[in-house]
Amino acid sequence: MTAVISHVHLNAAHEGIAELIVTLTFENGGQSQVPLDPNTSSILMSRCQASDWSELIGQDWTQIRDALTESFNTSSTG
Amino acid sequence: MDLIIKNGTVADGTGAPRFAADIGITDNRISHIGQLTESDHHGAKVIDAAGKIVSPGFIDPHTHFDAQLLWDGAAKPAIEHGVTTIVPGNCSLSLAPLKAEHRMKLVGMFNQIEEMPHKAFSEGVTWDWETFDEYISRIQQDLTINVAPLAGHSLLRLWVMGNDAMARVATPEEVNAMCELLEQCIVAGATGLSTSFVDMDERLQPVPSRYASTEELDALSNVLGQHQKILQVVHEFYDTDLTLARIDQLAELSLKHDITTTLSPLFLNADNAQGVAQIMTRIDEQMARGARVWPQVQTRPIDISFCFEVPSLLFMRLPTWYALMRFNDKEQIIAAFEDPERRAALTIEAQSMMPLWSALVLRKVESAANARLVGMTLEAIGAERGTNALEAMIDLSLEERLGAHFLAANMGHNDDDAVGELLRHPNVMIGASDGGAHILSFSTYGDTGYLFSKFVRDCSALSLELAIKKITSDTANIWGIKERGEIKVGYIADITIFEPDDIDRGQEYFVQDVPGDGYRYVRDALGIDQVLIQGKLAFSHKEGYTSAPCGQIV
Repeated sequence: MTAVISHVHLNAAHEGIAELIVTLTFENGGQSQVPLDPNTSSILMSRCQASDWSELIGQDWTQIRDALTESFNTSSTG
Repeated sequence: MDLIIKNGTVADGTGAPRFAADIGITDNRISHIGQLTESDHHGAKVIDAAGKIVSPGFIDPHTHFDAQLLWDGAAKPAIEHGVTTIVPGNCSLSLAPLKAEHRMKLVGMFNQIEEMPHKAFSEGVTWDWETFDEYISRIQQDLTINVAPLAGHSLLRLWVMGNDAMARVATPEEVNAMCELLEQCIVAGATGLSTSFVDMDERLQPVPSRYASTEELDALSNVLGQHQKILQVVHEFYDTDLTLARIDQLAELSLKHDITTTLSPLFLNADNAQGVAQIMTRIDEQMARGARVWPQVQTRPIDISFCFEVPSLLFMRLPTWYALMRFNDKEQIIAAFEDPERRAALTIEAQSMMPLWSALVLRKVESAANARLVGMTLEAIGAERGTNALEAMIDLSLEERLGAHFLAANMGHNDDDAVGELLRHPNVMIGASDGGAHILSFSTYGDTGYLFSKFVRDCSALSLELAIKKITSDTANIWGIKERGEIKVGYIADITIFEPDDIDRGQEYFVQDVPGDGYRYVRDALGIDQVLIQGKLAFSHKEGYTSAPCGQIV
């Protein structure tokens, strides 16, 4: 089953930073929300060549997976 | 009687209507409730509480004062906000049991998760304990506030498994060892166990508790059940589906082992109102089954802080700004702000968000010249400087070489009516203050005052009596804290006296009082008159803190 980004908005995270909440909609209509920290959000924007978060809508879920992976790897290696 | 509180209006913590009564205290307990005459005084000290509410002391069930208690037995400023009992050791992190070789590991975790500076530990802490019992003995030496400490699951794993705690599930033998260790903690005074499914350590790796198998948590819950102790959990609060799954897991543990469980935090943002409704439906269903699964909801809204050294998503819809922050270093950003042409382009792009810039509050600066501006809105600073908020934001950032920090208030958990309804819910525990944590980002004090000012007085979401009940007897009952939380003959005299029309949280400000010359955000309290802990005056509005070490492990 695949999923695409169907909605994006800003949220105030527990730690007092702004985070991006990305809603994924699956083929069967199910939805799931993924919170992204600033670094991962930036990587996702770059990967999708988006200049505004509205341009993330319609992107495949794998973009999020890969942005999370890249963010984790760059954070872990300092 | 040693002490008499005269002429007050008693809200006894049960939720019953307030009533006029005098309170007599003998030793450390409430010995009389009712009218007292001069002839009853017999030399007792008298507090005049005319026009004030006499309430049980407030209980803060989610704090991280573990380190602060080593240099400040009052956990300031908790007491001045009416809090008489705190629960530290949440989120799988306590300061014991802790072997010497793991001390720096724990300092790293406290720094990463709770923003407690390394220097606070190196200069404020003498590491003279390893076991939970030794830590309790250490903080008991100078305790003003009551403490109901949790033992951290990550600490149990580190003690038993060493570095493997951060790599794998435990063997049956290791689980048994953790159970024995938890038992020792409980005997030494632990009020329960905390664990986390969310937190990351200083290497951005999962904290040790996250490597536990369900069997491990089940075995530890069995120990909790034998002693009627509580399990605190940081659940995946950002995801409704995972939260629902955790509620079910905790419900099964609660029913199987006859334990109380609590998960925190639960936030209500505009985007997740439906999710919170689902979560509360599941909580209600599990509570109806007899499970005890208490979500903790904080009173204060969530603010967003930023400075221009770190890209903030607040600027994500301003592509020139966001690109500037994202792809340039500090000197390049300063150069862009200093270039008239580029600055003009930036200000034009940001004009549409002027209401946001105007409402921003200056949080922190490095220079003495701008220190007096901290706490002011950019609109006010702009007006003082003869410019607007946006220009003031850029100017301040230049003057501080990007070290100016700004705050956008009330960006989340800020629908007062909806949050008020949640706080009123009978299956919600008011908590999750995080007192003593995130000290460099925001103040975690004053949530109790805010409960009364916002949700009792402004929104009328809760009666004063219900609000008091929620943060006194309800909390005491949920956490198994005996003989506290009510104004009742025979109960311990933890008492908060406050002005019902004035109680509030004060302004947030930055103060340098952390060991190692460290800073933190704090708030003063408004409307709190006097706070008694175990029948002793711990704080008064007129005289401040007393030095009486009147707190105890509860």
